Amino acid sequence: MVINRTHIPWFILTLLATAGAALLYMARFHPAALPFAFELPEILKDAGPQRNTFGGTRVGLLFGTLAFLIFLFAAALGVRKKKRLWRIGRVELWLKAHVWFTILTIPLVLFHSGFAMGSPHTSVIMWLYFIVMGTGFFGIAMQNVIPVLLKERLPREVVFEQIPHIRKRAIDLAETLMKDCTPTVLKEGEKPDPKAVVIKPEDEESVEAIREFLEADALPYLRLRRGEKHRLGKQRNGDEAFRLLKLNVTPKWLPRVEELQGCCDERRRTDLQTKLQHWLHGWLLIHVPISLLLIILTLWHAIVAVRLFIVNP
Amino acid sequence: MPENTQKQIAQKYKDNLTYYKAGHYLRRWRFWLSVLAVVGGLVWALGFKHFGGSNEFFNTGPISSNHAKFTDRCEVCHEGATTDVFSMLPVDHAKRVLMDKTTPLTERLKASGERAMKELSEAKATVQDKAKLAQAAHAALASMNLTNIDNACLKCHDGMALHQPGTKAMMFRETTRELSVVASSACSTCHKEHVGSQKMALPKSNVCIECHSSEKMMADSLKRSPYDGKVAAAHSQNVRADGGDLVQWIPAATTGVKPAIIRGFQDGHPSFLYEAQGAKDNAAIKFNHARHFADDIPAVNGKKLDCTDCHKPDADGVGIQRIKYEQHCQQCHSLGIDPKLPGFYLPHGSPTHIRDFLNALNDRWAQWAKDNVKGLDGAALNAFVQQRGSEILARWPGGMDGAVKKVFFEGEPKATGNDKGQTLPACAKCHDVKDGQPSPDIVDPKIPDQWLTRGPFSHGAHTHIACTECHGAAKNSKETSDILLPSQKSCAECHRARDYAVVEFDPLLKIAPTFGKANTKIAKQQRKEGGVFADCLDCHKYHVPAAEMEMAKSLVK
Repeated sequence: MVINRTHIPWFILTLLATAGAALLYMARFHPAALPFAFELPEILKDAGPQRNTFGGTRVGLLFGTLAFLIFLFAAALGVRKKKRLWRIGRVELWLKAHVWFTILTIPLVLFHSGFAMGSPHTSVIMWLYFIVMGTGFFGIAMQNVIPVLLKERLPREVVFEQIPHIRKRAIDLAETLMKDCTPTVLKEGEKPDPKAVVIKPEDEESVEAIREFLEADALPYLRLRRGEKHRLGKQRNGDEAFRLLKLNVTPKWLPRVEELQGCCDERRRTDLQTKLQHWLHGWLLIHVPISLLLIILTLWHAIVAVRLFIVNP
Repeated sequence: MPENTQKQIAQKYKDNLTYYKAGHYLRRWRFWLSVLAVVGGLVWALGFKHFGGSNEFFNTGPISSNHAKFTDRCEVCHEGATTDVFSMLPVDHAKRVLMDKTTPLTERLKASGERAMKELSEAKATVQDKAKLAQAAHAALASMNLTNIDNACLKCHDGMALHQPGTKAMMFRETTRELSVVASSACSTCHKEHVGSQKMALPKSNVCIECHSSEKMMADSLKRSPYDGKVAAAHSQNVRADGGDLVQWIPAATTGVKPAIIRGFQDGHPSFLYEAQGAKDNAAIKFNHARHFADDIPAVNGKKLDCTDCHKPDADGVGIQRIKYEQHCQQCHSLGIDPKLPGFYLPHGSPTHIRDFLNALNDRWAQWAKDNVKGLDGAALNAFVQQRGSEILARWPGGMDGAVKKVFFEGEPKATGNDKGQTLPACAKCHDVKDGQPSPDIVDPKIPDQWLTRGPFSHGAHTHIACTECHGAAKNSKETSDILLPSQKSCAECHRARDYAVVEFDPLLKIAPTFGKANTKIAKQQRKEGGVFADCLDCHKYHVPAAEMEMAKSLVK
């Protein structure tokens, strides 16, 4: 979700809603601090002027209920993304509403709680809420920064889900080169493979150099789970290593070496892409499960609070 | 080797075109973590009590020491409350359906389903009735204002009316419209629980001021409970509380008065009701304070008559002892009917006793002679009695009727010379006396024991102040009806926020207790600086047992 000018109406809407909520809060709990007279609607007036709880008052319940409904709406974004063909508004619109309505929950939750953590139960809920909102804001920041980095640093971005396949393909290619560079020792009566590459005496030094490079650097690098810390993981080191290798091979083997260099370059790019993708989407590993846990605990809080504060019929 | 064409790029994926079916590991992780969160959350919520979870988990703050025994027993105050979400599920019903072996499971489920559908349709019918729905919604909202929790408070704090003035005297506040305008708020409005394990604190002034400083809230209170004035007295009264011994001054009914907007004792607090125009002391006694301060008043016990000769603090120093004839008046105003017989006094009290005394004068003289004259034989005693009888008949002609007239209405002029303090002021000199048979009637004087009937006032805390600083008007008061109490403004001179315009700011500085002898220096300093704190609850008390409230209403007619 890139934050741009199209978010201005949402920003204004959220600001107005926050101002409205703050007005209700002040009129209910600190009327003397208001610079003007404001009368609460009858339905929001309690019998008593003050309680030792904010959430239990009608205004407090209104804030809490609205915040919980927004939580449910925010969670529905996951369903909306799965059901892209449903005619219930564009996903982009849903995402904007998801972002700005959940920002609106900040004043609603604070006003509902009276700026207090409350019981251990509500404290847990509040911490979950902080985590969800924190990861949410982090996610928005990442979604505005990472795509720019991807564009700048990864002109040849690949399909993210294909990365494991591409890596396997590079390893296969390197292993094939290794096989081609390894002289075949025939046993008695064994016939040579007609497809096998024949190493001529003048190529022996080239083959030896390639094989050493593969064994020492290229294959271990390509097989690593995370290759950033390997010598070939740095662009400059890689270029230098391949430059030296190319000096030691005959022109016949140069295309194979360049093909191997391409694999290593691609591996480096996919490493970077994986890293950036983790930053871009990794926060969701916390945001989504904690959001669901938050909803369940909030529902639990609502049930228990209502049972505590409203006499059981 | 960089790819140059789309075809070359596509070559990389050609063996893996169904990649999207497997799902990415980040998505898989997210899915399973979400499942874990949902399942974990549900298990936690539903199984909380079964896993030994404590109600403390839902406690918003420590319970005060007053209610410490109810810790972890939320249901004592929060009636019907439970933190066991699992118990709210229809698990028992489901068990009954599943475990019933008498009918096939399919029929059992069908019957259960039909019953559920019936209940659902009934619920729908209820919901479709908009009036009922509105009523139910209103009832639900009304129950959310926590007033129901007051019922739990009242289980132990029996019969307390909410936000009603306290102390028996204050019940007479019904004579003003004030009682009718107070709002019955919840106990928790003033009494905050779950804010600390110490003793629950009494509400501070700011709690009272939050409502009483709100013009709108006060005006709303008037609307909420319009006053019909049925129990109001048209004028102030001196009333015996509970028909007993204690006499209290009750202000006149005040109607049409806007409720005061109070921001503090020195800011907006109304004048005391005895300061109202026309307010008077209704005591049926004739007393001239100014006369008693006059220069020609003889010294008592060798010194000039002073306030404290009559107004003495009581044992606990809170109030002033009641004025008693024998203790405070008799020394100067004896009821001696015979100037020649020192100590031969009429009894002070019931008119019947006085008439009985007069009827039995011969016996009284004989008794006096036996007690005071030695060696008196029978003949001498008879002669003494006859002598006294003939003398008094000469002074009081008309027999018993003449004596009654003299004693009750006329009195005798003060004798000069050797009367030894023997005087006979008529009852009517001090009392309201009504003629009657067999004896005149003396109106109950009803001298107020309490003036500030809304709460306790302690003289003990004000002994450093000279009497006349507050009751200065007494020096010149000639009428009993004069009310000689200090004005509210006079009290607020000391009982106000400290005036840092005249004293250096020091939030920790407190006025030291000033119990003791009069100290004009400290009194003057307090008047100048203020800062002698007074919480609303120092004077105003609330919560009257409901039964006493009913009794109070019946008393004021």
